[in-house]
Amino acid sequence: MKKLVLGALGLVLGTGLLAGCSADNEAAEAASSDGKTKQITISVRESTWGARKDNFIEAEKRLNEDLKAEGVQVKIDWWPGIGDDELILQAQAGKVADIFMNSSVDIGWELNAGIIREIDWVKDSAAFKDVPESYTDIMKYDGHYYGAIQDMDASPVFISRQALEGLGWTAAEIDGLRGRVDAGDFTFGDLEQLAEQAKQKKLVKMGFAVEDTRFEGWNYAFGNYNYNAEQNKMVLTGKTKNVYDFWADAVSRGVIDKSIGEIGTDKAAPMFVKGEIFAEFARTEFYQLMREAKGMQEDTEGFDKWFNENVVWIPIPSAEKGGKPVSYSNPAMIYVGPSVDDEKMPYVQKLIEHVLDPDLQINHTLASGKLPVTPEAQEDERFKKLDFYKDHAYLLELTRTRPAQPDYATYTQAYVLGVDAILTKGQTAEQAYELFRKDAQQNVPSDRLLIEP
Amino acid sequence: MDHLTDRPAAVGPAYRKPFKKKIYPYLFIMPFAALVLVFFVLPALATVAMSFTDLNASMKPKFVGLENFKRVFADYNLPDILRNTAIFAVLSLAISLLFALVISVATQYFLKGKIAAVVYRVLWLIPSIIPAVVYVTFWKYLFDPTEGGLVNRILLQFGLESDPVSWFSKAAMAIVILATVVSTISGGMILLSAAINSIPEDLYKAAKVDGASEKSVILKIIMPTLKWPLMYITISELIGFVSSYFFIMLLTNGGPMRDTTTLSLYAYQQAFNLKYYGYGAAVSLIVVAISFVLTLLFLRLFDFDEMIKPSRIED
Repeated sequence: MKKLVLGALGLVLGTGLLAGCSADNEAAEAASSDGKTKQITISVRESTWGARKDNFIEAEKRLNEDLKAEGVQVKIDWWPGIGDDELILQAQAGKVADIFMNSSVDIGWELNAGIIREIDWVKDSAAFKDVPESYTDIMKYDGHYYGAIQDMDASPVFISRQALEGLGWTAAEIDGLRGRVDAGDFTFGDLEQLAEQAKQKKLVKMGFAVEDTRFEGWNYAFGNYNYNAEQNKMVLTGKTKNVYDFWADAVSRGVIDKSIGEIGTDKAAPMFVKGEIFAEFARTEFYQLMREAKGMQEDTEGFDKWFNENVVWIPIPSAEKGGKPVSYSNPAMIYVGPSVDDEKMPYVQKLIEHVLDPDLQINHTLASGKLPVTPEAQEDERFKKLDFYKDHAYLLELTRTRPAQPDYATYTQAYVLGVDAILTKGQTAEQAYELFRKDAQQNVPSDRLLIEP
Repeated sequence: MDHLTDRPAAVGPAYRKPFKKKIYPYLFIMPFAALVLVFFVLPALATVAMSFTDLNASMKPKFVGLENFKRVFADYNLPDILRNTAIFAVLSLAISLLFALVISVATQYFLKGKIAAVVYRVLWLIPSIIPAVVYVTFWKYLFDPTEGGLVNRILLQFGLESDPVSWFSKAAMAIVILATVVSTISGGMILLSAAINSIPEDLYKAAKVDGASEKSVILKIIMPTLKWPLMYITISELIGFVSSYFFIMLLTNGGPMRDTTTLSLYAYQQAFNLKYYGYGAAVSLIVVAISFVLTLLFLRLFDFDEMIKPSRIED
């Protein structure tokens, strides 16, 4: 009996100990079997989405070719991708990977939590030398570079060509629409009016649809950016009332449906390809989702033909006549963990730079529907053949990203509460704004909120 | 008798249990006590400690005393969230108890021994054994706001509605309660069925002989037997409903606005969506306090002391 008890006890405790501890088998450096080549192990944490994993594996091969002469070899230790909570907990346990990916919006809290380190080499890196200034702004925070942009997208408005034709638009007028938006001649209000007419004529079932609750495009259209980069604070401004005015107006005119927040892109794509939605506000990937909804994943040419015959896309028009159109994005960034010391950093840098090799970026574009980030990648022949991607890449110049402010999520939750009040409770723009103001003031720490009239 | 009384009392050392026998119970308990300590006690203590700090994603906690609790009670959302919690918990409990009772009586008394009763009970078990994510997907499909939703499709097909209805905007709490109740009925049903099954058949026969009606059998024989199982189900399910957030999170995420946000979901959102761990911990402790008070209240209501009193043979 005693043996049984001790055995059971040992088994339970042993299992616990084994689960809690792991052997220190991740030595960063080790001499290889031949005793001459130095091996550097770099842990990379990411999901296999798109070509992210494949690109790292290919980058490892290319880097090792480069390093042959130096007698150094790099080996990737691949860790599965995890959510923010696990990232925090694992950081507490000292298990931050050398390289990992997350959204650009996460820099603020990641830095506060000490799970990323600065990578100021990005400033002088050949891989990033030609990226637009807006990308540099995304990668920088608090005076340093903390992330290397991995992919990008824009947010065109996909409009039903058939609906426009139903409203009496000629092919030339439809094709010229984007130019008018770019010139500030066609406004957001004009688009709303068209959606209302299309709905009234029963050409479509829904006026506007939007990707999840990514309402920032509509904020930007009204010049409502909510963020002060100099002070790194969220901004509570009366401009938001104008956006709520639009919401209340669009709901009353039937352009926006009460269930708009529930119709994600997975539901919207099949509806859009059936011609049931007048305008879908979504990011670049929606093109890919439409292709899936049409069942034409393998038929790129066939889908392009259908797309050109049935869809027209524009940037999000400005609410003001003569204003610049807008676009938004939520790019992924490559981060470097704090355990990477200065000795290891050059290898980490070279690995990341190889991941951004133009051809690898296009591999990712083809697999994920995201846009490449460097102009060199946009010169790739395969990219040039992708009409939609190639043509709308210019939107990146207009594209804004969510701020990396740690309380952005809290602020946005308060904003969406106001939207919900209009949608589901029939509240006025004024009431919605008051609710938003009250919630933001209560929940966003006062030292991170700028209140403007 | 003298020889008996005069005999010296049996002497010798009193029996002492060997040490190794004394230690056995503790050795048996120890592994599980260690697990309880690691996975229940320590996290609970950590939550209490966390609630007195401003811990957020930066993981640099600072002691803030009762600040989080003051914030909870000053939170303008609190009255609405408490009301949602009460509506959700009370209605879910009442409906699920009622259904569990009706199903148990129907299948274990009226249809006792019939195959239909077994099949019916098994059918009710299905929702509770389906993984939550799959189960919620089904409800989302049912009440999808587009024409693709089953309910909308039926309504449109029969011309009862001209446009698809946004169910989650109109009746989110009702859907949440319905989905929760359907998946929790089976737990109560099993316990109540077992309790009814334990009633000796002779009692029913005697009642029939005495000319008792079905109503009398249910009220005078079955219901008294169910008092303690009902107490257990009431308390355990009530605690479950007060502290549950998973279905709600998957179905509505507390929306529209905060119409389906319960206190425990609010705690989860604060801690894990917004990464205000300290504040989330404080809110979750309020949930614990409410559950504790409700448990005491129901123990008193059901006269728990009576149940644990040792049985006494009448003189």
